[in-house]
Amino acid sequence: MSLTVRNLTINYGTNTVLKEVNFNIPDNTIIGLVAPNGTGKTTLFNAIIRFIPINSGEILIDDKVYKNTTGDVKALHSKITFFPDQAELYEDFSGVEHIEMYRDIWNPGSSNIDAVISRLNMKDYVKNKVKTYSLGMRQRLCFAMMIAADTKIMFMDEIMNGLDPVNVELVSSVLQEIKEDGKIIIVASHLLENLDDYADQIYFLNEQSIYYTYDREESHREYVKGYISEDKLKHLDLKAGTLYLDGDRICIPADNMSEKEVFETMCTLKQYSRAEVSLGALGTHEHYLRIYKGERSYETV
Amino acid sequence: MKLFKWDFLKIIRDWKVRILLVSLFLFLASYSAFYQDRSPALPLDELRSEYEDTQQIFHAIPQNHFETKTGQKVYDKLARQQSIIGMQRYILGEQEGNTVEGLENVVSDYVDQGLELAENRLYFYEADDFESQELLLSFMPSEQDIKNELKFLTYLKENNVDIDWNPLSPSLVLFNLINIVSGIFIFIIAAIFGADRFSKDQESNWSISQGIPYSWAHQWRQRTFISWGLIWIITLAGIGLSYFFSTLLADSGTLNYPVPLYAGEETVYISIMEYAAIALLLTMGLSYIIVKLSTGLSWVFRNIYLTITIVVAVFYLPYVFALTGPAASWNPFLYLQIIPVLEGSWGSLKDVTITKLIISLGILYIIVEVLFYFIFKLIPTRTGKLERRRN
Repeated sequence: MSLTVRNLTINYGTNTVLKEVNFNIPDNTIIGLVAPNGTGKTTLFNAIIRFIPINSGEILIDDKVYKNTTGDVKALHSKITFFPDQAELYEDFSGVEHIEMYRDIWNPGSSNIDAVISRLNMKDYVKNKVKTYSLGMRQRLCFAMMIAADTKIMFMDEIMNGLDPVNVELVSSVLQEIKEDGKIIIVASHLLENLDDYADQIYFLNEQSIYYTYDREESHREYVKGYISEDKLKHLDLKAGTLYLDGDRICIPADNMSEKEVFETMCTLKQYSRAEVSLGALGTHEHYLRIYKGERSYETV
Repeated sequence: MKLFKWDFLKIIRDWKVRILLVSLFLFLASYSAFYQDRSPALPLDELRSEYEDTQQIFHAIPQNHFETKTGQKVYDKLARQQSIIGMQRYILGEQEGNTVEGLENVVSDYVDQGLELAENRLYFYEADDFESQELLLSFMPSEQDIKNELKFLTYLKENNVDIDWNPLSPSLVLFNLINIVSGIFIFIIAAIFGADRFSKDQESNWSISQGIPYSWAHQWRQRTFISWGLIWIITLAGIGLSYFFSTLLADSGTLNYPVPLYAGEETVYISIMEYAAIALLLTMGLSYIIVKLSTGLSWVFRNIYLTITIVVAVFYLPYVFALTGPAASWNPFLYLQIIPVLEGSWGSLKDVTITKLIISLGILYIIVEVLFYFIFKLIPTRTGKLERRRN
């Protein structure tokens, strides 16, 4: 199983939202899709699933092109599910009915409802009408519906909205579990550090296209990461390749440092900021700041 | 089939649908009770009027006009008419059936007398050499009405059915109710039921109802069938209960009672039961097309009032096409109204038949299918626009 998008272009009137987008995602993959609001994340999902007209480009699953014919769109919809908006659930249906509905539509042979409910800790409320649910309960229900549908490709837009940290962790771990069934999951989320917990690759949408792709497994260069204000930068021994980012975020390459230097740099950072100091590869958060907020010059400070 | 269950639940849990279904049921079930409050013209009163008319004829026609051979014959038949009407008044007044028990030899039989009366009246139309024929006929029903009366009475005689003295009898109330249901009533019900079927999902449940692996056409047909099924379960139950209630309120009448049905160039009389079956089956067929149209339009427009207005406006299309003259009988849109076809109101257009009505329903079904085949190629976006697929 693979999902390929070729030369996808979407215009809203004269405004080009996506231009010549290309990517290929193999199975067993979770993609984190990152971009500021209004950049085209949801448009990309909508275009692939053909909820909106495509100006040009192709959608391929397992190298088969899915065109705009009724038959192809129907076949496409049998392979892809789209994360529902929690505000658009049927208020007079119970949670279990929603889950059964998605199961019946996409995966009628399955009887894994109880396992899904149990795994997502929904037993206490799932039989109540949805109108009694909190935002977090609704969000978990939407996720459970996707799991029950069990399609090969899943688009999870703003999946972590309204979830408390415990449930963010729960959903993250379930995502990793279902990925192993050969699925392709694309998650759009603003919880950037959380994406690093489960995403295999991060796609950064910028300038109407996939601007930058970052593979977590291949990112081995280590950095000392912390926060420091501009006026305190002079206290640090800054190496070439240091990233000084929006919000006083600083990432100093640690690959040429001795252990003692690393320790001293971390202590210096801790001395000038109460924020967390860590050692590790650049994460989604740092890439996000670099791409969308730009790098700040540290040499001229 | 799995989707059918969820579409059904979505419809039946909609409070608007529930209220509509309950209202529809209550209206139909209580129709007979409301109908009892009416003051329709009783057959007895009509006979009284005819009796007085006959007396007027004697005063209006100069006596010397009765002195010819034909005039004498007319006089005798008019005298006999007055006698028959008098006896028919008595029979109806006794409310026992076609005669009065114990007085059979005196008052004779209502139907036999009615047949004689109708034949006498037809004679008046043939009596061209009667000097006051024009004046005489001005007091008479039209020749066509007399012939229909003859058919009506022949039906009563052949099927051994009693004349119904009560216009509020259960079978006649049923006949009226079916004519109401088969008119604009069913258009309005079908329009209201279909108008929200897709628009509600598009407005309130967009992300949960889009992208499912069933074509729009499949969902359209399924939702149409569910709405249509609910309408007719409730309608038939309501009509049945209404009939049951009216049998508690009155004990006269029978479902074998004859009612007119326009069949091509002439009127035939069939039992109310047969009429009900024909009218209801045709209305069920037409209403399926109307629910289909309304449900399809709810996919196009999110404004239910606009959908309802368009669908109800379709009901009046026949009046436009009726203006096209004789060719109108081949125009399927003429048959969007069933009752005028059954009653013969479009008779002036020539060749308007039930067979053509059935063929027209098939054509209308195909027209709606083809129309929405193209409409469902569009994409309904979240913002309510229909976009053309470009690539």
